[in-house]
Amino acid sequence: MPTMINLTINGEKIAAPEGTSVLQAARQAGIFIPTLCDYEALEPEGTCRLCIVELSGSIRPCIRVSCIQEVKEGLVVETETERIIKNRRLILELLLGRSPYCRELLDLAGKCGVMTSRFLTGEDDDCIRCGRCVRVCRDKIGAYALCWVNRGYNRKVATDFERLSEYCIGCGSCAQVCPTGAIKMEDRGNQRRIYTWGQVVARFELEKCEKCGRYFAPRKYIDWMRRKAFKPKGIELIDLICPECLRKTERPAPAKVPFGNGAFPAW
Amino acid sequence: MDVAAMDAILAKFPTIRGNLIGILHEMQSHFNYLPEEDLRYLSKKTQIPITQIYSIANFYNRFSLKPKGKNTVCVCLGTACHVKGAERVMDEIKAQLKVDVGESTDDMQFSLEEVRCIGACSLAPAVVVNEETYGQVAPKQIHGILQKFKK
Amino acid sequence: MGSTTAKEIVISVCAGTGGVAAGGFNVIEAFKAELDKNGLSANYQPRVHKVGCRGFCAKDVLVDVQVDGKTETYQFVTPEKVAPIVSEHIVGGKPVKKWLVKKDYHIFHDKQQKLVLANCGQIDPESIEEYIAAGGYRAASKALGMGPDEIIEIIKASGLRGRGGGGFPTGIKWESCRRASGVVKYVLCNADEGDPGAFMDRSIIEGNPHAVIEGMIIGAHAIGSVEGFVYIRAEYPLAVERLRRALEQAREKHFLGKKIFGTEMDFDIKIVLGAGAFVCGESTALMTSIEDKAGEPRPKYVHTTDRGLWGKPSNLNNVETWANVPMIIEKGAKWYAGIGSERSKGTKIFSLVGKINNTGLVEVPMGIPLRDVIFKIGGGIPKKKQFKAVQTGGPSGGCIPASLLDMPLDYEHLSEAGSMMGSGGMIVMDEDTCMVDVSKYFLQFCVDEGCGQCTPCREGVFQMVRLLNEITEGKGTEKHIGLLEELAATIKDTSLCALGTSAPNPVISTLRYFRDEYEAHIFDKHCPAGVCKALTHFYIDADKCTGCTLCARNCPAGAITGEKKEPHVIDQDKCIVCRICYENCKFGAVQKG
Repeated sequence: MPTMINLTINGEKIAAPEGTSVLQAARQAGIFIPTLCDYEALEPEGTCRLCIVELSGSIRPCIRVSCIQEVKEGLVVETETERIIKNRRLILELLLGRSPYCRELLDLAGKCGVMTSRFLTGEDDDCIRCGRCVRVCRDKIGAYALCWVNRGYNRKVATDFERLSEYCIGCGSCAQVCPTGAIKMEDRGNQRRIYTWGQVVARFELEKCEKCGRYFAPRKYIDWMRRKAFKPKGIELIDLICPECLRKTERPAPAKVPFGNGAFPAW
Repeated sequence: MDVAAMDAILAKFPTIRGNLIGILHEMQSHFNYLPEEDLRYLSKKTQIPITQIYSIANFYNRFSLKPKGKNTVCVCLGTACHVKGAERVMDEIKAQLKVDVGESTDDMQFSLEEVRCIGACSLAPAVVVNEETYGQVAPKQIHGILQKFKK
Repeated sequence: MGSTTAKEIVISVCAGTGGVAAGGFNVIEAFKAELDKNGLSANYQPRVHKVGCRGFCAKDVLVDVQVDGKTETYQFVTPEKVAPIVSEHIVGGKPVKKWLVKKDYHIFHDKQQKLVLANCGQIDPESIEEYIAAGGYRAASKALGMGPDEIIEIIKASGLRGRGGGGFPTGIKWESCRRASGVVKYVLCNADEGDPGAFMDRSIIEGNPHAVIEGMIIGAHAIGSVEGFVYIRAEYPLAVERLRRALEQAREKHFLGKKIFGTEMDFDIKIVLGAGAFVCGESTALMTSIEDKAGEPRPKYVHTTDRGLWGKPSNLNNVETWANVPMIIEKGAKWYAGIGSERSKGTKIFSLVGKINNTGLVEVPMGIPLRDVIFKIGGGIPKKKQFKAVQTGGPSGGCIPASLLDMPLDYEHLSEAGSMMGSGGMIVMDEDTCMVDVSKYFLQFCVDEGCGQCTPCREGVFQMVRLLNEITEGKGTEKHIGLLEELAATIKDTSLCALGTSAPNPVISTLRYFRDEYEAHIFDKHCPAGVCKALTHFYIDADKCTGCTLCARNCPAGAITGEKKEPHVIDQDKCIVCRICYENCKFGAVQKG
């Protein structure tokens, strides 16, 4: 049993296991804190700054992001003070300034009471630079197909030399974790395309499932997973079987996918 | 792609860890930019993902992914230079070389760069051509300075 | 030379970046040649050596000529002046008066207290022997015989605080790093001096590199580290070269490497070159940069003294802080704590630049009134212009107005005034400097130099620049100031690193002290300083114009016409508002409106 830590969030007394973040503890207690860059299976980077909270109690009063701040005995957390709400709304306005038509962002902004932005830039960019795609590709898949380029306002996600990536394995995790749909994956017939800003970053031919005949995954990805990832105990990994057919077999389903929560849509 | 040059550069570094930026500096000064093929070779040799190398090459001002001119003209836009009229010096250089910041002249004689403070504030406004620092530069001196570096 | 009555001749030529740019190396060669020619080299073994920057770079090349213990200083020395100096002064015994430094050189030095810079301008930075002869490496040798806790206590008692920015107590930092668990620990030196207008760290390394190395050796022993790094800007080639040489010399003397100073301790220092990214001066970004990555700061909820470079406990101090350490060990905490103000101890080096007569590097005791630095040491504002403000703390700092000139210079007072110590850049501004333009300059700097990770800094500072641009272009409305203040508050509250949280400071401080200038831009569509082109025009006062034609000859747009000895006129349609006529007119006839 992990040690339990006692803290207060919005006046509510909460116990959370040592090592969890304030954000996780709040979620477990059913308290909503908006966030864009946080993703359960990824190490938090604390860059979107939406999940800011006010802290006091056992530490010096300050504002911090709750995805990185770990729970601490005696910590007092406020998630909706006037100051937090004001800052959070302004950050959302700033994000909307560049992505005014991004539906997911508009939804979240609406939830936080922001209807319009005073900072329109004339851009229409769905990418909000949360970096989930870069992190999943680098830290979880290990393909290193995506990276950040440029600095400051010009920072953006790119492949090496901003061309079709040799390193992409076509797993689609980047599209899966993208909170705004800025990176998209599209399977059409035996073709898979991953694209962003209307530009294709990777293109693959899909393999057919030996059982149902459906196109389901690129060869490169299947090979990669076989080399890198899991060998579920008790089953021989049969080549070229789509996840749905695999699930239908009598054998226990591969319990431990290397990266949870169905982030591998094609597996 | 210059394998011999790359191997010579890599041989200067006993370990890779903590030296990637140093290696890129050596490449930049040898090739005058960071050629794609050589960066890919570096990635293969060092096992550092090409995306990480590419990201670094983009992040730092000193690295260039495009070939640079024979001479680099660097105008200091530090605060002291700013209040002493560095913009006018910059405008004059732009006009004479007919390039913008970050570009090279058609004959590849000059590249124009800006830098935020070279720490020569008492010489403001300052211009550095290659390794040579010029202090208290007035726009009318630009022609003479550039002439010295034209072959 | 035994008992002969040989003349002792020492010639010290300034060879910092300023000296070199002014032709210092040519002057050295000229002296050597001239001494040879006069037969002095053979008979008297004169010493011609290069020394580090002594601060008064505006007078370069500065040369000390010492004959039998008597020193005279020459200013603006060029190779052509060397022959007369040698023949009249060294041979003839009569200094060349007209080329000697004047009163201002002495006033410049009078109020200074040179401790860290004491050796700069005295010893050859490329000679470890000269450093040792000046007492160097005695402190390190002494410290290695002391216990780590004893050293930490001395540093704590001295009151030394970080010279790179926030002013964190150095001893406490060392102590937390010493206590952090882990076998491998690092000591780091931040020489990524990126604040525009600051060059004290460059000058220390160029003029006295061994002091930094010695400080780091002492720190390594106190913390328990065997490996050190100096992260230095690639924009400082001379400093890099001198540091590299100094490290080699220290290794040869076994001050670095295995079993240093004959003890059991191992310690070596590696140079890591920056590559042109201001954000790498932030402590966590500096560490990510050494780790072969783009220099992006990390959220700092765990101190780097616990988890820093490669996840190991790391102690980072800047160049000036390290250079203070040897003398504290040598002369004691009590002596050091006796210098400075109540909570800011020791001296601080400032780079005095901008609209000031005596530009250069000055070292003063903490707590000295700002007025003394500007008007005594700095000699006031050129061309009899009015002092308007002094900017300190780089892009994270603020502007201090004339009403606060009597403020003591230390950490507390600077932050109270809405600025900060930073690394010590001090940019003086006069009536011709527009405060809106200056704010825009610093924020644009942060837009160019920010890493772009976090939303408030990436998007927010960009938006602030947009608003400032609109104000300077005459498109400002009453909403602009409110929006600027709103953005500033959020960026300050929520940015990821110190570069972000402090980025709005220049706007906050100028809105505090120079709000009227913003309002003049917005409501009167007028730039009082005559800097913002859209809000300025120049005209010629016919009563003052003598018709000297200077302005017309220098106008790049051909906008000025007039007959010789008759008042001239500026054609507003042609004028590009470049200010050249305004700055060149000797009669004050060109007016801004």
